[in-house]
Amino acid sequence: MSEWTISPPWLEAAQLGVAALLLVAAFVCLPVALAGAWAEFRDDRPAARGLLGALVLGGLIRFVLAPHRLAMVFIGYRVTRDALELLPIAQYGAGAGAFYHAWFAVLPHDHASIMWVNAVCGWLALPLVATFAARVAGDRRVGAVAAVLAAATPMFVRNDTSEANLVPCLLWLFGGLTLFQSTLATGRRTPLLAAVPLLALAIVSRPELLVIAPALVVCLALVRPAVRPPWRDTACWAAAAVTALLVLPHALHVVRAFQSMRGLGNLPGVATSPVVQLVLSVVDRNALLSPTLFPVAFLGLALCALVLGVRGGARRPALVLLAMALAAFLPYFLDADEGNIARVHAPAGLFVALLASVGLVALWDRVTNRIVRGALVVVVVSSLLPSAVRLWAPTNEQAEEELIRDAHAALPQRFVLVRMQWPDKDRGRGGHTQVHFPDYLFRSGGKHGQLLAVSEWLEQPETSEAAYFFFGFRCYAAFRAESIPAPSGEDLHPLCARMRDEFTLTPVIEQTAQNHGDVWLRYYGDAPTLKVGLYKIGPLR
Amino acid sequence: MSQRMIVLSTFLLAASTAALVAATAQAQVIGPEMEPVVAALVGKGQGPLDGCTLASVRIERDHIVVKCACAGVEHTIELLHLDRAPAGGVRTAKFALAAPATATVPVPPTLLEALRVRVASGEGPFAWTGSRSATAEPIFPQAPSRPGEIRARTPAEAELAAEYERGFKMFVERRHPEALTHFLAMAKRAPEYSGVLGMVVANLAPTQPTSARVQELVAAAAAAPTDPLLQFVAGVAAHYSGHYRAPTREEKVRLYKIALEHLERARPAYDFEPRLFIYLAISSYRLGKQADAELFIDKAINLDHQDADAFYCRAEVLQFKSPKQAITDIDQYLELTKDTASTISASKKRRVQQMRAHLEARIRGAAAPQELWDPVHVDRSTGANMVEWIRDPKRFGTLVAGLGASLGAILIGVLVFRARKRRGTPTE
Repeated sequence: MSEWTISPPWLEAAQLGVAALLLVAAFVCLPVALAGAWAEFRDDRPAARGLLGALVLGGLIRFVLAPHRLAMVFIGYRVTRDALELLPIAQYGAGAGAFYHAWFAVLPHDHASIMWVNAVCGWLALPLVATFAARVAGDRRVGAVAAVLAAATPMFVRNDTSEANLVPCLLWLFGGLTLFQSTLATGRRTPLLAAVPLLALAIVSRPELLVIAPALVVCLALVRPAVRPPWRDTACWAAAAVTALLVLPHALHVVRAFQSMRGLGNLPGVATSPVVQLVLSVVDRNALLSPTLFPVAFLGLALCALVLGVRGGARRPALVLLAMALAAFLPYFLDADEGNIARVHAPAGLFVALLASVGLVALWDRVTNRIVRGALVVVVVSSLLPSAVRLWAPTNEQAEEELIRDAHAALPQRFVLVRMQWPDKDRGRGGHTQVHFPDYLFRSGGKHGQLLAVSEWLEQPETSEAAYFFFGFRCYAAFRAESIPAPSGEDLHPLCARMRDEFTLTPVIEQTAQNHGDVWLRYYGDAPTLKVGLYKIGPLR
Repeated sequence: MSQRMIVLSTFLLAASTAALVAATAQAQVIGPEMEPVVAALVGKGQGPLDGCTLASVRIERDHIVVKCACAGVEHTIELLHLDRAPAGGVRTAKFALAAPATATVPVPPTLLEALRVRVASGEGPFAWTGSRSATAEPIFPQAPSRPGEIRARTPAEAELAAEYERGFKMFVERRHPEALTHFLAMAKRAPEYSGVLGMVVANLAPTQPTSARVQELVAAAAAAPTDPLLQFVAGVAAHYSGHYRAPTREEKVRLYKIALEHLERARPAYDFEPRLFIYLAISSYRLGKQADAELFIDKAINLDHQDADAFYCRAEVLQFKSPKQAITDIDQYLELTKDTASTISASKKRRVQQMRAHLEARIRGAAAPQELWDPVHVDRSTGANMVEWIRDPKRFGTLVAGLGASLGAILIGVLVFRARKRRGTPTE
């Protein structure tokens, strides 16, 4: 995506105004939703203990055990920059960006701050997910099990400990859905009033939620007969109208972004046949069907849920959960690729996990043999392991992040830093190599850096400040299509080669790093090691 | 307890709103300390931009003008504050990049993008300075020619010359209120002494009188209707208040009418003073009295052919009727002020040159007529200021947290109040 503004100033101002308003309302509405979760479980001690255990487990994993890592290949730096600057509004919408932007009032201007905020959001979402599942299934044990699965599943943990802006969306989404459930179950309008800002906030944070959120709300209304059918309730229609009005600026923004991205060729699902792309996304680029991304046992348990139903044998709640999983999955066919499916399929995976929790409780009720029950648990837990290994596998991007941190620590207060950045042109292989760099790190926290692209430096290599070259993994990155084999050797970018060949580079940090290859995206050559580091730029050779 | 919470919450809400309003009311300018930063951020001394050479960089009060030479064609790009960004334009964190309104040759998008990247990478140390003054820097009247050059023929004249010199020194040192008091005292005794009334004006204008100050002076003038100096000062103060401070056209009109009324009262006694006729001319022009304005300004020029401000003002009077003559008058102004660096700043001259360029463009049909001499000094689009305010994470975060906490406190207070009321209701 280019740096061009998507929407005119008036539309950006409208989106920011709505986002700010909704964030203020969320201050009240989210605690109301969480209070509802507490009220749901307080009278059921075993289920409450299960939920508490899930919270402890989820907290331990997210705040202590699981390393916080960027999920997007170099794009996380851009997401952080967009959140710091707030304008122009990125193609996702204003909601999540404004949310992170507010947190930067007290947190360091660093992508690590976003990852910590996401971890908190992911953890706070656990009781809401539990409440949602318990109310859909009509069984609080399902809720407790759902919370445990959501707390421990590597795909969800990886998402929660990354910069993925879907994470706060899920918190707000489940907050809104549980409040809507309260209205359906009791007929009271107050929860509906609190649901609107949360649902609207989720919608204005991601473009696909314009479709997914309403679909989920409709599915929820079909689980069981409500005290007051929503399609006959004026309050529900009014809430829908208010929500639509609130998200209108976002919708206009998304339309503009869609047109722009289509023009740039950034939506493969539109360039090729949408039907073909849809089929491919279900069959081929589907994280939920990949045992190294999503626990295979969950699929089996989900199937059990569809066959056995919930307590009492009712199958409708399970079918509704399946419908929700599909609603959360299908819109991503437009831009799903191997680099992002682990993130974008997480919401669908969550609904499958809820379905799996229904299946697990149903099986648990039917199987009384302790050994069989124990084996069931072992199967479920062991199915988590392959995805844990894959999702935290070492990558060149993570090594780049560590090198950036080391470079930041090694640089003096004032400096010129030369690094790969636009307009350093891609090498003609599709032009989709992401070269975003965390410039914000080098202009804050006591650092006053002037950052230059390599091509800019090569045009006029003079400066009054000490100049350094960040020779990182992006010097070796070049996006290639699926059909093109990995180039042999280092595949060094010509601009980086010129820096190495034309200037005297004195190492400040130098590493011969292992080349982890194409873990998520096809970027690298097949050389076993790559030389990277931070170098002081000396005179021309 | 619940009532206290409601009061506290309401206070927090009011305080947040007040802070928000206070923060929005500032125009953004480029402080002189930013000059080296500007040079660095546009990459002065660095290599070409998209194959073009960086020809010049010029700092205006509230924007930067970059000229690039590309294969014999010169392109001009302005770096504006973000709240002046044109729709759909190119931006960095602190600037909007756009071709000037008067540009006739479109700027290549690649050049614009190359400059954007360069600016984005170097703009870290740059900071806009909030200024409470109007959309553009005022062009204050030039000080009259120094009477020290006039030979003092008598001891009394020598004493007046020395007194003038003392006051002029205060003016040069920008001690305007002190200088104003000094020259008012001098004008009371010797209004015809060459340049004294001019120095009253030259020191009154920079104070940019407020509406309240004008009221005081008008009241003083009303109390002494035969005192020409009080009428003159009230008239000039009203004129400058309308020019610098008035937030609407209607307020400008009101103040110019006051100016005209009081200057007419001073006219019989001060008909030797070119400044009187300058203000009569401009106030008349801005009230739509074109013929009166032309008569008054010609009188001012006839009284002093070396008064640069008279030519500047005639350019204003003739800008629509005869733009070519207006350009000639601006040229005369620039010619007369080229050696007055101590009282006319380079940025003022640049602004006048911009006016000239606009008039030329208007003659060519490349620019729409717009008010250059006397724009209305509105708070720059509260919406845009609000957006800029929101971009500061500290402010935005504080606003959201403050309003959210206030809202929460209010709701808790209401809930507690209602719960207590329910408990307090006796059951039957």
